Amino acid sequence: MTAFAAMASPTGDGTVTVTATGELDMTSAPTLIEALRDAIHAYAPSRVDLDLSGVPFMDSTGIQVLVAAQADVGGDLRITGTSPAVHRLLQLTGLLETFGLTV
Amino acid sequence: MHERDLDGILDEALLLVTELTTNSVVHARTEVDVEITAADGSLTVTVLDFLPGTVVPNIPVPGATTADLDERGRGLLLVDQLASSWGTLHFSGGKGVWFRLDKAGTASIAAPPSFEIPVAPAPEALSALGWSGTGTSLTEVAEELLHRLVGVIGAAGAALTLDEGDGPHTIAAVGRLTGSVDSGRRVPLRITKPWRGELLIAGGGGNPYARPLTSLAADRLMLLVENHRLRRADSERRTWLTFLADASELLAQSLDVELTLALIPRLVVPRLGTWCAIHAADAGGELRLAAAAHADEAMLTELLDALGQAAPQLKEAMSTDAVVPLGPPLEGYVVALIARGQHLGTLTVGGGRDTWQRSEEVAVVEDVARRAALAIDNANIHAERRSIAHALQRSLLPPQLPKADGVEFGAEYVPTGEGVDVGGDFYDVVPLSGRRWLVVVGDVSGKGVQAATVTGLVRDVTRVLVRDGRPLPETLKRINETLLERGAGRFCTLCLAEVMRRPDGTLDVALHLAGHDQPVLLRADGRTELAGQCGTALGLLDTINTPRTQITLHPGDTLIFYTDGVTERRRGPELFGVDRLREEASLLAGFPADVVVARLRATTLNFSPESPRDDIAIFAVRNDA
Repeated sequence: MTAFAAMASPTGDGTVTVTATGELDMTSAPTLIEALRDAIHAYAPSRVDLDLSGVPFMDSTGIQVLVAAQADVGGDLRITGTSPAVHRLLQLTGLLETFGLTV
Repeated sequence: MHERDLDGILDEALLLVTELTTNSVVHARTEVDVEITAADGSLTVTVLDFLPGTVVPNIPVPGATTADLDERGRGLLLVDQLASSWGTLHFSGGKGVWFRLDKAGTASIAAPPSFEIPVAPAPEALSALGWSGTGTSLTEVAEELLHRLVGVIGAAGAALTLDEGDGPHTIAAVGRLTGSVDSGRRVPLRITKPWRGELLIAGGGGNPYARPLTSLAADRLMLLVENHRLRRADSERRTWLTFLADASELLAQSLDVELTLALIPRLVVPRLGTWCAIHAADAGGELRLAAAAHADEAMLTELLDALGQAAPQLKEAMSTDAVVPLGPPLEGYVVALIARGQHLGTLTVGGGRDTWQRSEEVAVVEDVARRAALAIDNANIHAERRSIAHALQRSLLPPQLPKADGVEFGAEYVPTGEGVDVGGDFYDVVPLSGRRWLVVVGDVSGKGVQAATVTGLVRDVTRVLVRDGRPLPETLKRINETLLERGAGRFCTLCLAEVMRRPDGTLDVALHLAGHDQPVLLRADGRTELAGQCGTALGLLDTINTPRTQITLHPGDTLIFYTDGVTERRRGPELFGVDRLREEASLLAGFPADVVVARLRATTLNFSPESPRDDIAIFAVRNDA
């Protein structure tokens, strides 16, 4: 199991990129929540890009975090990268379009 | 920095590092890691602490002055003002802030620093605290002192005797004592009862300093004996504390009532007595023998007979909360087992009189009784919780599946862990008019009573709406609205399948998936495929899309529904997965529905030695025509 970490950095156009690595489940979800909250508070971005390509596994807790974070950002949370497992879960739950992804 | 020609930004770097490390020390109160990377034209610094949480407690709103912010906010405002770029960093063990300073004229788009997840430094091991003596025995020191005393006062001999409650013993002796003690002196030592000690001097009465020197020697010996007594008491106390700690750990590990009761006598014998018995009180306060142990197994029957005669003393201990002694033939005592104000039973210990009459050992037994009572009470609470969880879980699942000609239903459910929490997985079969049934399989996020409440809500709303004749898309839309209003932030994946038996012997299935895993369609010849189109999970978004898929089950075909507890079952980093599920299902073509689900349950559980992290539900519909 990969230890979870999340890093936030601004990209200069009012967007903040949050890059997550490791397994996103009940135990690691608080770390992502804190990273997203910090990104929103520190930069007041117009959009948050979330890169989950380094997340090999995500469960239903991750879904709740993503939907809640999107509400916090005011609807503009975009997932810019996914692993196959994360992509499959977002597809199963019908949330690909919600986060700007395609089948 | 000098080598990289970064002297020009040294002051800013020092200021920002100071600000950030101060923040970490003041707010996180943990160790701090500072990572510095110097490149040509820029410097990147990452300051990490080991307290998970947010870095920014307040928002530096536009136009805010430093007076509006607390110290931590001011630190980050400085970083924001001075750094070319900066950002935050989170990992499972803590968080941090990174910043980059560019040399004048070399500004570039900053990439965040690469980092390795740090490991919090282990705290220094605490040095053991304890009495540190010279290592010389009481006898050796006493003999040396007596030897000097005899030499100085010209006595024929001297001795130190000590009675620890089991009769006087000579600890040290020098010179000749026989027949001349009476003409000498006996000086009692002022030591803590029940210990008693005496300094015996034979002869030496002619020396004018004999009396004060003997008195001085007696005081020195008294200190030596007290020191010896305290060291022994400390050693015994440490032994008892170790014993109690070990006993507590063993008792805490068991959450099974009968196992806990059986364990207690095994802890007590032979450490605190030759035998031990536990009597448990029932709801009416009546005592029954729950467990007993004897150091000599052959004596156990005799012990049980004798305990049968001790009922009055056991009842007395229960009513008075005091230590009640037991006379012959038992030679022991009874202590009540009390936890959280409830009398749970009695602990009876016995052995030789010399053992059980020592007050410190009685105190240890009382301590064991307190810990044992808590362990029993915890086990009782755990059993009650498990019973409630099972009852609640049963109420959320159908008591039995319908039986009909040509259609077979099979279901398996495995709760997670110890079975003290109600899972979020559920299934149901709702009989409809005209040889139709609605199969419902769902998974509410989370566990426990709150999840169970939402599960019950989803199940009941589904039943009411479909029996009212509402189409499945409308039913799902209503459930989504209900969850958004009353779901307490929980969402649900749901699968609705309307099964209808046709006159030609086929089964028509209208399938709607709302965020749920696609069921496995197992054909009679062993071929498998995933059925249905993915739809939106319920309770997350205002608008949902749950497309309908039409499936025909020919005789011998089976449609297998499951929850993510199956596909996400782990063996190390490996998941059970959908592909493995399909492979295993393909081996079960031709088997009845209840056999299919039972085999898949066994295969899923056997995939890993660990107990399931998530509950598992498997449901099958088979055309049995």
